[in-house]
Amino acid sequence: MNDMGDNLLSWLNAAMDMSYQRGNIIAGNLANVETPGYTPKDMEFEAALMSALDSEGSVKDLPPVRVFSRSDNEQGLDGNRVDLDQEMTNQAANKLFYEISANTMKRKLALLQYSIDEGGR
Amino acid sequence: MPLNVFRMMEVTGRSLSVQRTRMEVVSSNLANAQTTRTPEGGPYKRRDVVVAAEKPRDDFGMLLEDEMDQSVHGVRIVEIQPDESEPRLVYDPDHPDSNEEGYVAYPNVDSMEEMVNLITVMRSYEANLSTITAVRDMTTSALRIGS
Repeated sequence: MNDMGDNLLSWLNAAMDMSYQRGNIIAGNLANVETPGYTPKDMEFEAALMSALDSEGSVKDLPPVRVFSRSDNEQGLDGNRVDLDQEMTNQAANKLFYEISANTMKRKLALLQYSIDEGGR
Repeated sequence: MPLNVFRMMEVTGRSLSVQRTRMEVVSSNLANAQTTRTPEGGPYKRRDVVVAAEKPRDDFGMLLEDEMDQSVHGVRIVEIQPDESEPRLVYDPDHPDSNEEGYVAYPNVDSMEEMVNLITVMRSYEANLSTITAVRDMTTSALRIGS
């Protein structure tokens, strides 16, 4: 994507894709909250986001994100390792992140629209 | 990684229907806690729902993701299994279904256990409903980008 100046839009795009993917993973964990022997999964989300921000504050491309099994969680009597509180917290945080990204994208586009409109006068 | 917008809804929807079935089985167990006659003979046997994590469907992308352990697992019902433990024997010689010694075989339903199951089913159902809300809000905010 040509972002006119910086690569914020494509970065946000990738971050929203990633966040949606994480939402999928959390949905799968919540669906299996009562499945015997199920081990929940998660993504190394924050680490990937941080690594895409360099010290000057500009953004680089997001690295591919690894999905891992949370096998060090405490195990229930039926071998299920889903921690409901953990998943609900992650879901809330993930949803917020997605909405913030969407909002930032909207504002970035509004800025571009503004310069286009003003340039035409 | 391919992004399937409706996969989340699909997984959650399936899970809601699994929880609903578990709820139906619990209510059937409770409703038949005193049933001494069944079509297959003998007292009612309490039933248990066996659930398992679902392997993704057999399209290539999903299989590849599964091989890489990157996929999202849904949930499905394997079977509804009768509990073969012994019936509860109560001494009541006047009951029409009593045996020669005067004992009536009542179902192996423990209402306390069923109530606990009922509550865990409700919690699971609520957790999955919150996913639906989250997906809805996320999609709405994405749709608002252009406006």
